[in-house]
Parts: sequence; C-alpha cells; structure tokens
Amino acid sequence: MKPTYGRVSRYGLIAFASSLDQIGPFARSVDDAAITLSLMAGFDPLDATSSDRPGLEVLNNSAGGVKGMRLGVPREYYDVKGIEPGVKAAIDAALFILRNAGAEIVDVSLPHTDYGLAAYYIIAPAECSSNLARFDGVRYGLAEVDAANITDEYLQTRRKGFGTEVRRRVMLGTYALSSGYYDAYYLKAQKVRTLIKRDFDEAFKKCDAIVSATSPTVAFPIGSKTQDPLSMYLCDVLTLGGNLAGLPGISVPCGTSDGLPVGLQVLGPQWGESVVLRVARAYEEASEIRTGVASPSPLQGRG
Amino acid sequence: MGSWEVVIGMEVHVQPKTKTKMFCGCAVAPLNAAPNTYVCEVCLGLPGVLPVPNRAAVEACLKTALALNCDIPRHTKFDRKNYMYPDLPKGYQISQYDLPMSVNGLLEVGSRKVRIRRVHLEEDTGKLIHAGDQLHKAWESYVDLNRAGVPLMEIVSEPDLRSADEARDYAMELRTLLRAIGASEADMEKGQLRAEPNISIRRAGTEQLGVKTELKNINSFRALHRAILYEVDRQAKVLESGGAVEQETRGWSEPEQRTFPQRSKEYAEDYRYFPEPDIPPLELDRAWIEDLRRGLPEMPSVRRARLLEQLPAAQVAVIGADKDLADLYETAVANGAPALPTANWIVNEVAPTGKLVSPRSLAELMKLLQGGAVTRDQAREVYLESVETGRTPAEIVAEHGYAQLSDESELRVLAEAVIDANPKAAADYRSGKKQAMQALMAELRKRAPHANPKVANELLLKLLG
Repeated sequence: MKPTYGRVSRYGLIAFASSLDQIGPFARSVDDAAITLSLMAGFDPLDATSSDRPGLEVLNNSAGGVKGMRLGVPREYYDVKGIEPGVKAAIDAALFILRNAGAEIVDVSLPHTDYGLAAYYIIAPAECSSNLARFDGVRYGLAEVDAANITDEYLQTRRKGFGTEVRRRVMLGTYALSSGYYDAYYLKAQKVRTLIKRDFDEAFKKCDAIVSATSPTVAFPIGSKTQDPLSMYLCDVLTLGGNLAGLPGISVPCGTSDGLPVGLQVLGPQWGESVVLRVARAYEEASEIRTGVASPSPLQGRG
Repeated sequence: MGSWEVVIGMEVHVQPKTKTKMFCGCAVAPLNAAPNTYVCEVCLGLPGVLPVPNRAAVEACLKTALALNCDIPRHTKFDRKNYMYPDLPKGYQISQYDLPMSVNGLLEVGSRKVRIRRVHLEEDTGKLIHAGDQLHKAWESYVDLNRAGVPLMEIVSEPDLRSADEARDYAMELRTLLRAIGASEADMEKGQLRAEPNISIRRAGTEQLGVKTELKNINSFRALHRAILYEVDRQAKVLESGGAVEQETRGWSEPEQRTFPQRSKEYAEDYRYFPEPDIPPLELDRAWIEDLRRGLPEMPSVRRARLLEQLPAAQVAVIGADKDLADLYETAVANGAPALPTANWIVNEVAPTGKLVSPRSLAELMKLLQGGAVTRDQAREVYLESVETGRTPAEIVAEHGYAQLSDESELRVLAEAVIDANPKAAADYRSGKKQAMQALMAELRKRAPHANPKVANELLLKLLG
C-alpha cells in the first residue's frame, strides 16, 4: 500500500524522487497493512512535508464493507492501451464481486492520464538526479577509484557505482533541469501534475474510491525489457497518476492471468486511507482471495 | 575621451544570529572550533536526511528585509542550486531562486539611495583546507563541514553605487543596521559579513552598462575599498589599451593587493535550479510580519539625525555607527552626563577598546571628571576598574583615595619645588620657549598625579611670569 504523500515520515528513507517518495507497508492481509500503517503514520518534526491529518481510523472503518459506496472506474484506466485480456477479465470479475457486495460502480474520467507518464518521467528523474548527487565518493562511495583529480573521481565513482537504469535517470533528470530546457520540461511537467490532481478532485466528486488494475500487464521476465525502457515505464501507467497526485492507494491480489498474479488497485482521495482500506478489505473478504494464511510454496515457479 | 564612471552592485552574505544551523539542530560553530565537530547527519548530507527550516533564521531575514524597506511577498519557497564540489555535502545548496523572501528595498547611504533587489535565505557551504595553501599546488585537501548548513542571508543591491567609497560606506551601513536590529553580529573579520562587489565602468554620461567582474575573498572594509580601486583601475587600463573586460569572477589577494581571475563566464555553471521538494512553500503569517515590523528599533539613520542635533559630525560618525555606543551615550546623557565630554570619552576611550560600563556608571564618572574630582588619567583607571569589577566609579574613587588636589596653597609648594628642581626648563620658558611648560607640568604630575592640571598650570604660569 502507498499512503497519502506526507502520511509517513520520509526521514531515514534514502530519497529517489522527494516529491513522490512515500513509505508504505507490504502485508499478507489488508488488516495487517492497516495495523502497520497506523504505527508508521504521523507528523515527524524531522520531515517538513509530514502531517498529522486525520483519516486513519482504519481499524474501525475498514470492517464496514462497501455497501452503498460508489466506486469509480476511470474509462482511461479500464481501456488503457496495452491492457492484457487476462488482466481485464480479472478486473471485471473483481468489479462483479464488489457490486455483489453492495457497491455502486460508476463511470469516471481522468482525462490527462495520457500525459501522466511523460510528466512522471521528467519529475522523478529530475529529483533523482539531484538526490543522487551526494553519492560522489567524497564522504563514501567506491573507495577503489584511482582518480587524478576531483572531477575524475566524481566521474569514475558514479560511472562504476550506479547501474544502467539509475545512470539513465540521472542523465534524463539533469537534461530536464538544464538551463533553457527547464520551462519546456520540468515546469510543464509540474503543470501537468496540477491538471492530474484536478482530474482526481473532479472524479472524487462522483465516487468514494477509484478501482482499476494495478498494471496493464502481469509481471514480465527479468531483463526482458532492459533494451526497451519505454515499454517498461508503460507498466506504471495506472499507478503513477495517483503517485503524482500524492493519493493513497493499495494493490490487492485479484486472481491470475496466464498463471501470474493480477493486482486490483484502489485509490482514495487525499488523506482517505480509511476509504481505501475499507474497499480493499471488503474485496478481500468477498473474493476469498487471501495470501496471509500460509507462505506460498517455493516450488510454484512456472519452469 | 571622457572620464570613467564606476558602477557597482553589491552582493552581501550575512550570517544571521541564530543558535542553530539553517536546516538542522546543530549549534553554529564558534570561531576556531576543531574541524567537523559541529556536524550531524543532516548537514553532512547523509542519505535519508531531510531539511527543516530554522524559524529564527527566517525571522532574522524578515527583520532585515523590513529594515531595508523591502516588500515581503505572500509566498516564498526554497530551491535547490545543484553543483558538485567537495565542500557541498548534498551536491546541491538549498537557496532561494525565483520567489525570494523579500524584494524591492531601499537603503540610504549618505546622499545615495541604493535600491535593494532582494534579501533571501540560504545555507552556507563547508570549507576546504588545502595543504600547501594554494589549490593548484596542494598535494592534499581537507574538508571541514562545521560551516556547512549555517544560515546565510544574501542581500543583493541594484548597481546603484558609484565609487569605492560608496561601496564601502554601503557595507558599513549594512553592518550598523544589522547590529541595530539584532539580526547579525555582522563581523567581517569573522566572516559573518562577506561583501562581493560587482564592478563595471563606462564613459561618463553614457547609459549602457559595461561588462562586469565580481570580486570575492574580501575580508575587511579596507580590503573592499582597495579591491574596488584596484579593479576599476585595471578595467580602465584594459579598455584604454583597446582591450575588452571579460565577465568573470576575480579573487582579491590581500598579500599581493591585487585581483586575479578565478572563474570565467565560459565555465559558468548551470545550477539546474528547481523547487526544493523537501520543504513545502512558505506562506508567511502576515500578523507575524507586522509584529516584527512593530518590534524594529529606531533605524540608525534616524538616530544619527537626532545625534547630529547635539553633537559634531565627527563624534556622530563613531557613536552613530554602533548601537551599543549610541545606547551608552544616550542613556548616560539621560542620567545627567554632560553631552560633548561624554561623546568624546566614548570616541576616545570606549570605541577603541569596546569595553563598556553601564550608562549610569559612565554618567557618574563624567560628572566626577567634570567637577574636577579626578584627573583624566585617574578617570581612565577608574573606568577600566569599573568595567572589570562592575563597581561604581564613586566607590572606586573613594577606595583609592583618588581625589584631585586642587588646594592652591598645597599646589604652590609643589610648583615652587618643580621650578627649583628644573632651572633650565624654567629659564627656557622665561626666555620665550613656551613648550618648556610641558616639561614642567610633566614633572609636577609625576610628583603628584592627582594634581588638578588646570590649577597647577595656572600656578606655574603665575610663578614664572
């Protein structure tokens, strides 16, 4: 689960993209996630972006079920380009279960969804390029570099110490922030971010929570998209809108496609963790899909 | 060819008076603290740490902005200035870019109205210590991060200054103002006030600004003055010999008394500014700002004008430039001290040493001196003793038995003895060498330090006449 931006202190978390980073629990059940979150959450004087806002009465509210709740299905998410039929089928089944549990399924729209990916992959690398600057080898980092001068030490440390994807993001971010490009990229991405937030504000006027697939595809084999980072980034298309808007969200198992797990994403309004957890718990209960009972056998790979 | 007009804008970095650093709880290191002893995970820039702005620093910046007649916008934010250097632990400096804490101020320096472009807050960097003293010859460099994260206010003026004198006076006026409002100690020697002039020259009567250079490494008001004079002369020579001034940053070398190139524009960094995501934008509470405005003390310029009604300009130049001296003077006078003698005392005895007594004690001492109860030399001793012990001058005078000898019959015996013992000086005086009187007076005061000089002098004149 990912809480609202600011719900959990980031102090001690190594920063990737500071305006997006947020710590959340992985758990075997929604209740476990709720309990863990209630212990992690709250204002921290060491994190100026943290907050003590209410909305965490999760343990009382998550048991309330979805009867009478309006769950929004964004058409841009439901019919997202590249969604696998198996994923779509699993989501349809989940929506059926939620409707049977008493929820009203309503159509909503998030019109700027198409721009979210581009905005995210400008903002996140830009912040990443700055956050990773401290890994320069001066105070820590690779000690084995044999550099002639400080610039050479920086270059060697960072070339050897960071992997391909990290280097790619540092370079993308550095470019996006460069003089002459800032307005066209970073500033424009921030404007898109504002529009995406407004999309969600509008959508939440018509529904209590938003449901969709977590990813349009199931997990791809490790290394299969290394040569095509853009298609890899496209896997994030359904989660990064909520991420850019700083909204709370959770992904719960909702069956499989092609033998691999599919996730049902529930997004709530800002500080609306209790709503998110309530919907997730109701689905978990009604679907009888539970992961918390026993650890999966280590011998279930598809071989 | 016409003469050159000098155009100077000033960037002044000031360390506000705070207990702790800009974004963490570390104490601000005292001067000469052992390296890297005033640091924590935040100012060391360790992974996972976050900055939290220091309210006292924001307050000092707002007070400074208000004292400089700046506008304070409703919204302000911090930004990251990205560049890599070993004295910058995070690889970026937290500063302010397009929404500074204040804009559009004004400071009057003599007859010159200097527009203030902005006053903003940022954090200081660490310090590099190069073994071998000079960077290009250093075999090893060390990093001291005590200073890293110390708050700095940057005060940027428009290019409204027209001479080295004006630039120096501007910096001195800033110091006076900052001390008066309690925003900073503003001691240049301690690096609490760093002035960086941007200098260009143009033909008198023309409008187009010339290419400017920025000077760094200036550690005193005198150095500021000399560096500007040097740089103006250098630029004039370059232009007069048909060359072009290069836009660059130059350092001032105190031992060599010259400026030298540090960084040229071709190597100008692209700082990739963007809003600091770890600190939410600030919406400053208007009531707080109004409280600060109301709490500001009388401005030094206003006080100086008032002092000029009582005292000559020379005394006001000293007393009006320092809040502590001005407070001492005005309160002592309010306690019955005579105005001009007290002002002179402060200029000659207090300002050079910086040793202050309570205004009440000074008033008492000035009255004792005025009434002839003590000599000036004795008064000086009494003053220092009062500074050390905190006792009142009257107590000290009584204890030492200092009381001036003004009795004529006793002094006459002394004066006669001095003349008898110094027949040559006496003869010299009688033959017209008036300065011989000084030797006789000195002799008399050696025998009786507490003699009233005025009465003794009159007696000697009478006896020799």
